Amino acid sequence: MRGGRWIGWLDFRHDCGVIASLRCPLVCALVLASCAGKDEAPAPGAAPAPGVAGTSTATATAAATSTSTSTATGAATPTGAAMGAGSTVPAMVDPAARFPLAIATLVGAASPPVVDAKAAWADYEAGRFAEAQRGFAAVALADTKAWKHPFNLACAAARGGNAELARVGLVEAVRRGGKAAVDKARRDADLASVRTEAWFEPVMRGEDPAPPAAPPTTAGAAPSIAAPVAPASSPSAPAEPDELPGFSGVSDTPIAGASLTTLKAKLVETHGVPVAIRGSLQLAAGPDGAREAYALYDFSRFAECVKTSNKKACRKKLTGDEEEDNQLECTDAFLVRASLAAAGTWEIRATKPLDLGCEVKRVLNLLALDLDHDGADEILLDVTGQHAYASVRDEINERVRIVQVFRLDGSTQLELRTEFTEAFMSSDGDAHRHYFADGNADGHADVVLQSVELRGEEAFAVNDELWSDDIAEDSPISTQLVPYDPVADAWPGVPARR
Amino acid sequence: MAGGPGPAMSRRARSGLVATGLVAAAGLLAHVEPPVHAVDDGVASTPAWLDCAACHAEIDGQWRDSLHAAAWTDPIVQAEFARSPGPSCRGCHAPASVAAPDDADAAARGIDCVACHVRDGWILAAWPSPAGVLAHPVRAAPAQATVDACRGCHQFDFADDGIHDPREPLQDTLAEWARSTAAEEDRTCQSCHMAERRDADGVRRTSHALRGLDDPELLAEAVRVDGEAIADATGVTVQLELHGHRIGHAFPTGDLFREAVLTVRTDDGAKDALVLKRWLASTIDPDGDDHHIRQVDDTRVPPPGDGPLRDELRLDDPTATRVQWELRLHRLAPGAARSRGLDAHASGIAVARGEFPVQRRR
Repeated sequence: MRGGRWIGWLDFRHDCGVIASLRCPLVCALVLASCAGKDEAPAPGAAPAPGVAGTSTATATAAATSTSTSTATGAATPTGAAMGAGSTVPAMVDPAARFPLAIATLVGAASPPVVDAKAAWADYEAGRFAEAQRGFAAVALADTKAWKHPFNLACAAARGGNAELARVGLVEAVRRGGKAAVDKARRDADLASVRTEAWFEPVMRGEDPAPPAAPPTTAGAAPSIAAPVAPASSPSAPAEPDELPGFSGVSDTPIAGASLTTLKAKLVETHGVPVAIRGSLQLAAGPDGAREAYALYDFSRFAECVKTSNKKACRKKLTGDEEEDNQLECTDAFLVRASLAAAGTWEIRATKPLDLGCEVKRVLNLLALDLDHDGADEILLDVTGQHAYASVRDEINERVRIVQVFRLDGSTQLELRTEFTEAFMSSDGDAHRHYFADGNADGHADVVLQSVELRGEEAFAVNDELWSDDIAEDSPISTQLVPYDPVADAWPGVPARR
Repeated sequence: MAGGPGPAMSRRARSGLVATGLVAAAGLLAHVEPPVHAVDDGVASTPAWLDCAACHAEIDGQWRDSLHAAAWTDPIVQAEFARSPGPSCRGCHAPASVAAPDDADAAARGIDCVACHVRDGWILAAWPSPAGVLAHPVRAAPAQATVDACRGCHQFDFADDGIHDPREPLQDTLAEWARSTAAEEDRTCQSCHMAERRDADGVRRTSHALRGLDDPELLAEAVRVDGEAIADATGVTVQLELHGHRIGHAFPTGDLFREAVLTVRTDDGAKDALVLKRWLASTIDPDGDDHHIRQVDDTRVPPPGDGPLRDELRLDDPTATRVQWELRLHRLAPGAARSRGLDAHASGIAVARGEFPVQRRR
C-alpha cells in the first residue's frame, strides 16, 4: 500500500505496548510519567518493559475495496494540502482535533499509519527525518494524551527543515503538556532552528498562531504541510489570517445591517410567521452584481400551526401523551439560499429543511471555502440541534449534529448527521467525530470519521465537537478515511447518519 | 427578662431582645423578605425548628401534616430534582439546606418555622403575643399576615437560562390574586390557606396546616362547573363554563407541572377532555435574533372576577341521555409523571364531579 490510496478502519490501541516500543526501560506504570521527551529514550539495546511486548499493538486493516490511483510518492515528504492547520482551521474541529487534521496528510500519505515509535526513533537517529516525522505523527495520533509524541514530531520536523510541521507539533505538545513541554522546547537543541520563528513565542504561550500564507495552488499540486514552505519564515510574507494552505480563502462574512433586516422580512413574508436568523453567510458579488447568501433560520412550530388553525387544535396537534412528544417548544429550521440584487431586494433561490430535532442549538460553521480543493468554493454548514424532551430543565441533552457541504450551484456534496448525547453518561457510550484532512495526499480533503468507545465507571462528557476529554488511554479509537472522489466531486461512502 | 433566650439563641438575638418592646410597638418591620433563594445568614444562629416545637406543639403538629413540611421530601419534588438538580429549587423547597446542600436533615425539614419566622436572628410574628415576647425575642412583622409573606416563592419570573423568557412569570399566583375579587375584598393567601381555627387550649389561632390541594373541601369549592349538553344527529356538544368560586387565584395555580383535566363521558364510553393549564411554546423574539419559550395560551379557570373559562367538548354518542363530568387536578401531568418513573395517576386528585342532562333541540 505504500504510496497508494487507502481506505478502511484503523484501530489504534493506546496501551503500554505503544509506550514500550519507545524502549523506555521502566515498567509500564512509570512510563507515562517518565518517558516524556525524545531525549529521554534509553540507549539502544535496553530491555523492553516487563510484561509488555516490545512491539506496537496497533493494527491497521486497509480496505481492499479501494483502488490505488494516486502515484506513489516514495518521497520523504508527501505532497498534499493540510486542510486546516492553525488557528484559522475551519472551526469544525476544536484545538484537540486540529492536530490530527494538520498531520493527517503526513500520516496517510505513504501507507496506513503504523504506530511504531521504535521505528520512528530508528529513523530519527539515522537522520531519516521525513520517515521519523511520519512515525512520530502516527504515534501522536494514536496516543492522544502524551505530549512527548508531538514534541518528538516537532523535533523531527525541525531537523528536517519543515518549520510549519514543527509548529504544528509544538502547538499540540504545549496543549497537552503545558509547562513541561514549554520548558523543554526552550532548551532542546533540536528545535534551535525554529526558536527564531515569529510563531515560536506565541506557541510557548499556548497560542495557536495562524500558519503562514501559502502561495496560490491548484488542485493536485498543493504544497504539503510536510514540505518546507518557503515564505514561512520570511518577514516579507506575513501570515494572512484568512489564508490557509491550499485554500483560496475562507469566508464567513455574515449578512449585515439592512440586508439582514430585509432578508428577515422576506422570510417572514414567505412563511407568514416571525423568523429568527441563526447564522448567515454573504458571498462576494457575482458578475451581475448580485450577491448570493445563505442563512439558517427557524420559526416556531406553534406559530406556524396557528397560522392556519386555532390554538386549541394546535395544542392538540403538537402535544403528545408523553413529554417526548411535546412539539410546542420546538422550532423548524431551514437553510435558505438567496440572492441580493443590486437594488437591495432579495430573491429566494431555494430553501432546505434541516432535521435538527426540536431546535437549533449552535451554528458552528457557515463558511465558504474550497474544502475539497477542486478550485471552486463550497458552502459548509455545520450545526447542532437538540431534541424536544431535552430542551427544558434537563441535563440529559440528546443532540444532533449536521454537516452539509454544498457546491456553489446549490447541489449537495455531503450530508452527515450524527446523533450524540452531550450529557454525562453513567458508564459506557460511544463518541463519533468527523473532520476533513487530506489523508491520501492527493491534494483533496478527505473525510475522516473516528469513533471511540467510552468505557468505565466514570462519567463522560461529549461536547459539540462530538469528542470527549475523558477518553481513556486504552480506549480503542477507530478511524475511517473516506477519500474525495474528483470524478464524482463528492465523498462516496460517507454514511448519511451516525 | 424571665424566660429569656434559649441556649441556641445568638448574641445578636439576645441583644435584640432588649429592643423587642419598642420594635413591636412601632411595628417597624413592614415587609418580610420571603425565602426566595436562601434564608439569610442569621438563620445559622437561630433556634432550630425543634426548639419551636417544644412550646408550639399544636402548631408544629399542624405543620407536620402540611405540604410545606413535605416540600422537599415529596416524591414529585424529588423526582424533578433528580432530573434537574438546580440549586434554585432548594431556595423554596428546602431553604434550610441552601447553605448546607449535603445536610439531608436540613433539607428534609422542607419549609419549616425558621423559613418564614426568622430573619437576621429575629423571630418574626405578625402579632406577637405577650407570652411570646416573654419567651424569646420576637419582632412584630405585620407583613407576615399579608400576601407579601408568600410572594417570594409564589410569584417569580423564569430564570435567565437562555431557554425561557426571563420577563415572564414562572409562578404567577400573586398576580392572579391581584386580579381576583379576593384582592378587592382584602382577603389574603392566609385567609384561605391559614384560616383561623380553635386550638386545643380554646384559643383561635391561624392554622399552620397550610391547607391547599391536599384539602378536598377546599378544592371542591374552588371551581364551579356549569354546562349544557346538547345532542344532534351525530353526537353531543358539551358547552362548558368554569368559574373560579371560593378561590383567590387561577385554578390550577403554582408550578407549571400542574394541570387540571375536566373529562366528560357518556354511559356508552364516549369521552373528551379539556386540559386546564398554561401552555408554553417556543416563540421568536421581537428582534428576530433568537427564540424563547413563552406562554402562548392559558386554559386555566381564571380567578373570580376575571371572567369564566368557556370551552366546548364533543362526544360521538348521539343517543346519550346524560353526560358525566369529572374535574381532576394533577400535581404532575400524567405524561411527565411517566417520564419520571412515577405512577401517572398517583398525582391526580379528584376535585369535583357531576352530570349534565342531554338536551335535544329540534
